Amino acid sequence: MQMQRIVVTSYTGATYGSIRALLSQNRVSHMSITGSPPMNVDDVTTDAPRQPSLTEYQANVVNFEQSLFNSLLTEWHEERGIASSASEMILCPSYQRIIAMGPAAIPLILRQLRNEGDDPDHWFWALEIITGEDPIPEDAYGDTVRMAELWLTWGRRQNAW
Amino acid sequence: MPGSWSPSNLPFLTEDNHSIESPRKNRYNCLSWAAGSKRKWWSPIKPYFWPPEAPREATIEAFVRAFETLGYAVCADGSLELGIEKLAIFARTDPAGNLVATHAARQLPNGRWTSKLGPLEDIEHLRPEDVNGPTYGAPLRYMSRVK
Repeated sequence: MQMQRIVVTSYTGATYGSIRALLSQNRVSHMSITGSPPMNVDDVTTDAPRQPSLTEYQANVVNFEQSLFNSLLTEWHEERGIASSASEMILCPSYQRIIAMGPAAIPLILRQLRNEGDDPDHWFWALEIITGEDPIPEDAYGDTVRMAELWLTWGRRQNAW
Repeated sequence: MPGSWSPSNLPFLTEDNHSIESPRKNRYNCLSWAAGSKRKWWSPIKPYFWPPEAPREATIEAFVRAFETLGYAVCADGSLELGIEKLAIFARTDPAGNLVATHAARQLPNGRWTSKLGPLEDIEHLRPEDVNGPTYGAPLRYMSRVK
């Protein structure tokens, strides 16, 4: 089987799906992601003719998803600007792309939420849409620190990260 | 010190008409700041805080109702009056032609105004109109209450 090297330098909506498809077919032995958003697959070349181990394959998937998430996070902060409206923030295309990553985004969001400490960002809507869960009681609405703690507790119970 | 916002979002802010008063924070927004709180992010959508007596919608009427729960009532303008606290409620027209409430600023005792810029810094500015622009639109309602 021909192995491929993929260099992602920009991103379009179709990119995530196509790279996941290549990874799931075990056709990628090495992947590097460069550039800032928007990213796209613009260079696919033949690489080492070696079947990657399961560990390498998993590392490729994790690296790709983390890089994609980081890029979309940067893009989201730029897109939302000074918007005070939570609806406007979550309707940003980059935030919607994070939601479109599906379950793969859950551990990335939860780790990000944990790293944000006492000033958590607005991940609650994405988590609720992706997981179908709602661990936030009404008396915690708007208290972003408490909401983050509740989601992190949910994540630990689910072994989600 | 320059703010972390894009000047295109706030085209009327100049070095002379505003000052930055806090670091950027995700924890509270303009509505909670106008209400005098830094503890909760106010927004009509769940899972954010919204006064139960107000409809959960981004309309001027809903914003007015939300601040009425704190004792404010609609008033004529944003002029400085002794012993009175005032708010300005901003709105802009969305692409479908609907008026969408977007922002609130609070008058300070010295007559200047304070705005929290979404998840970014809070600032003091000379007039409510200093934060007019494509994101917030313009102040369309004023509210006041006795201190």
